[in-house]
Amino acid sequence: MRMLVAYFSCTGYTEELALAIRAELESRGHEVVVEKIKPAVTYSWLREAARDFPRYPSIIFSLVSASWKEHHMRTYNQVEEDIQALRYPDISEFDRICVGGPKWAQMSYPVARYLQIVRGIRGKKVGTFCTVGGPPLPVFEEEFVFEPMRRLLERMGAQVVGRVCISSAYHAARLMPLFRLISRIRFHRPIADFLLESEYGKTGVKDFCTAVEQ
Amino acid sequence: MAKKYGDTVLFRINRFSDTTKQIKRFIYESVLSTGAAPKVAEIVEEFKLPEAQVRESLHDLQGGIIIALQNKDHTRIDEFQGQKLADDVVLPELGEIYYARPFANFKTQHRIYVDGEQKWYGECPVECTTISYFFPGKEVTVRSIAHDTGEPIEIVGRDGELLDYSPRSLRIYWGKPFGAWLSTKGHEGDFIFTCDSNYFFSSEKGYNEWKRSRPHEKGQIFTPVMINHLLRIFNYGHERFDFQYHFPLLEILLAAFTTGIIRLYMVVIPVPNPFFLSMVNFFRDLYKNGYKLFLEVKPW
Repeated sequence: MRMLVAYFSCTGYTEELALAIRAELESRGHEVVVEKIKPAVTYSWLREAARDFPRYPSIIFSLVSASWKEHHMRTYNQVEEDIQALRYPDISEFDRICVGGPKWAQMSYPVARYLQIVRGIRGKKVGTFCTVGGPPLPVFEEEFVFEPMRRLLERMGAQVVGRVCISSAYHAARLMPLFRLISRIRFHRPIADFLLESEYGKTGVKDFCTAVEQ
Repeated sequence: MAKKYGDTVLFRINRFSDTTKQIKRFIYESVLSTGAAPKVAEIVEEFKLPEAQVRESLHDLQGGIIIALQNKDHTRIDEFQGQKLADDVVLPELGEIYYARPFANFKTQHRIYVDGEQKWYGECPVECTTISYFFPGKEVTVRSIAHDTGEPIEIVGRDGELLDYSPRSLRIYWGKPFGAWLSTKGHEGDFIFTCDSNYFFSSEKGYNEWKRSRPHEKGQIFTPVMINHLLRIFNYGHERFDFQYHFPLLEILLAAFTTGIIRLYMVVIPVPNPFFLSMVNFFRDLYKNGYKLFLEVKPW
């Protein structure tokens, strides 16, 4: 199959994940093309955070109330970032699409813009992947990035067939000590157990590729 | 560099359904790849939906000023915005897509070049100033003809920004104030008529001479910079799946003078431009003609 792996990477961790996915898919005999999503402006975490800051309290409430979380997901206005010209603005020629980026408050802004403007996605089977700063917490990390992606893709007529979330053990706002503690409390494991090179990471990439292939 | 998209929506007045958005995306994908919008029958076949439902979505898109559908008045025209149409032009049939704004679904004098390739046609001099939104990261050139002298004009843009235009004295005539869009006698509810008298003028002098013989014309002229600034506020993100027209209040306020929303009377007294104030009448006329208003109001 001809597949496209489109990704945005801020510090290089998501790029490593995207390339690992490409290598795995190629080893299974697929033709894989990579599209790097490049923002039109230089990254500044302070500016990016400031754009979404008014909704941060809502994210925190969502962690304690399922109904608030549903309300938050429904009403959240995804922030977007202008991106540079794409090599493949029309992806209708590909059989499968894998798209991903780091998790910011929810989707990373360049990925959100990519999904909004890329052509030919209707009817496609899509795999979504992301890197997160902390351990793969089911709600705060995974659901907050994958659920908006799934909703947007389904609204556009695409079908999400697989997903993988790997920890990068990096946080722009220097929150790693907190995440390390959470990893110990929640999973009784160090955060290193959720990195790409860990067993969790390798199995995650393999399972993701299997799901995308179906 | 690129302008930011207003992230916070204060409130929405109606929202396109997901089916309508998918149909809109299908139309624009077809326009961008082939230069032509799909026929209604093709949309019906693609989405496997009843024609009535597709027509309802197209009706909403027309009300949202995204597309315009062919009507009886425009099935047989020889001229388009003051210029004779080419002999081989094929006009859309009744009920088919006439404009997928800012593109026209037939050959017009507004030719659009992207990387030297030309298969698209613009629908209106006003919208031509920000047409580059649809080709992210690429330099887009619009070549057309001045209404007064017939001389060639050129507008160059990238990502919605105006990079250059010639001649430097170029002016854009916006023929119909918002209040006259849908309520002009004989053209009630006609979304094509709104752009019929928008022209490029080679200079303000040329416009003044043209205007002298047409004192009853209610349009106004703007510089390409003013129009570009205005449309970058309202049209920003037009190429996005979720786009519908938006009203970023702070941006409008800050750009009120540079876009001509407020003009200076006697050089010092700021007076709101009635051309834009009549937008309230347009909103009223939308409902009168059986359309819904699709609008997002944002704080900035």
